[in-house]
Amino acid sequence: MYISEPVARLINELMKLPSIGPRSAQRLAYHIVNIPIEDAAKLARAILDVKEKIHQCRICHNLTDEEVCSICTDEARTTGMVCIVASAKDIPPIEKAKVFRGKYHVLGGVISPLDGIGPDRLNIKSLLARIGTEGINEAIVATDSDTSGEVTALYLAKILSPLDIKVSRLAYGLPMGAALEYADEITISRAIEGRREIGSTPAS
Amino acid sequence: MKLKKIQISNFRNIKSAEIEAGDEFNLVIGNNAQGKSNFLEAFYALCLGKSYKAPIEEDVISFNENCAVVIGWFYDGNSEFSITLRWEKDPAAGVKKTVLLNGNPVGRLSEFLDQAPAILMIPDDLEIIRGAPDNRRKMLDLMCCRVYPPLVETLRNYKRILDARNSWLKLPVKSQDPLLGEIYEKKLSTYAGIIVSKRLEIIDMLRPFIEEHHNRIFRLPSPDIRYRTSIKNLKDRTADAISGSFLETLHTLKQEEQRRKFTMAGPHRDDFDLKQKGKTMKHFASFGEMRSSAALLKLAEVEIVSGKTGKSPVALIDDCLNEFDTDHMENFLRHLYERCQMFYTSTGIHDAFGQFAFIETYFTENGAIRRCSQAELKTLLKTY
Repeated sequence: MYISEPVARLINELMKLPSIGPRSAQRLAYHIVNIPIEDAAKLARAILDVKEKIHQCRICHNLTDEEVCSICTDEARTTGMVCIVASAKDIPPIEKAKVFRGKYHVLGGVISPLDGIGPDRLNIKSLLARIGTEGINEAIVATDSDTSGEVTALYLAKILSPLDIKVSRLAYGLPMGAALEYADEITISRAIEGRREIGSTPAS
Repeated sequence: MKLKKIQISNFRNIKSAEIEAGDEFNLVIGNNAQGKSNFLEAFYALCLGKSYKAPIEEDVISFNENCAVVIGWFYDGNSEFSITLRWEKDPAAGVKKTVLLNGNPVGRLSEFLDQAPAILMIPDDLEIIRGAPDNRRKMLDLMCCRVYPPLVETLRNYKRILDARNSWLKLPVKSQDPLLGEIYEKKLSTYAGIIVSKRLEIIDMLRPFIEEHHNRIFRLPSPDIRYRTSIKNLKDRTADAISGSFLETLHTLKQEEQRRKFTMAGPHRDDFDLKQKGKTMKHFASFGEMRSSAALLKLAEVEIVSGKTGKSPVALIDDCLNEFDTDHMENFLRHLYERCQMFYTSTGIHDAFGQFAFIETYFTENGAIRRCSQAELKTLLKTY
């Protein structure tokens, strides 16, 4: 099958994106061929804008187009609490829940020597500096529940323990609204390990 | 649990076959390369949800065909169910596989595993006795997981932490974060404690079983089974005590591990020994003795599976008992005959087969399978 060179190049570029296989790339490319040139220009501009304007927040390493992100500058948020996440993309889902009103700190990854990421590659120094200056007294570690996320959480707990602040970890187990009969053994054993006494006040 | 009927199409060299199975002993006879083992592979795939020997599952589809299908109808007491397995060639993914239980798609294969339990015995089983320790660990862990399913996750986590720790050990010493090392040791030892304690439990289940049945079936001195661990000073068998000893072992190995740059102790370095009269079977036993021990471990699996699921598994035997003399063969088959439905492939009739009352025989020739009549079987038995 013959594909003209510019289209083939677009398909190749699209295929480098996550979760885009050869078929989806082809569909997207032919779609772009068919859209008005203004729309294509908008798309191209949006991609370039992201690369030119977005960078890390000086304080928390969240993504922002200012020097300091909108969460760090928000005066209404409590300063005593920091939620530590692996990547900036973990912030929107937590924000959506509108339960957590403290600040964030983005690590920029999880510890994984297999991928060459040691603790020194993560934003831990800036975290320690913030705890000293911002009067933080509680840290919630919100890394994933996989082994690297777990190891990273344990590492942070060790690093933060001499600082006399409360360190907690997100609870893992049964998803809300899920029927017990559909949960697999792994989830259930997790939920049993992380069980809570009925009537005990949830941490807030 | 028993198979009532199986339909196979375009699976390896089997173009199209339909078999109504006998309740007890099913004998599948044919010359080499006619489709006997393919038949068992198709059957076992129904029970596992995948082929046990094709790493690229596309390979199970016959040449020049696009789709292989195996359907089995089973019954268990009063309940009947069917399993369908379909492999379709797919230009994007290589092969698309569908598993249906009673016509409905199955989500997770792990939940499906005990639906139709089966035990497969193949010539390669000898490797459990004489092969590398890895073969034995795999078998032991499989048994542990059947008795204690959450161990699947523990084993997976252990492997991940082990890999992470090994790449951490490969860093130059001055860039190894000691805090991280401590976390890896702690995590590794927690998982190791659980794994080793479960393995010891299974070995304790196997020991009396081997003793009892080895005597009854083979009338030979029974081998002794012992777990051999790389963890030093194991005082107690609880998961916590094992974790503790493992941590101490890692501390004593510290310098050597730094030099050799990998984790030198733990469940991934353990093994079990089968000893006969104090001698390791791997080095001293005859083929017949090795085969009898390997077969016995498979029988133990039958027992463990039926104890856990309440279903007797189907036994699939791929012409691997040739090291047995007639007596041993008969005793062994009798043991299975009394417990489960059996499918046995063979190139010919064995003297021992004549002792079984309910035997169904099938011929495989050139990828076709057909049942042979009782009269045909009688003449076969006479001629041999």
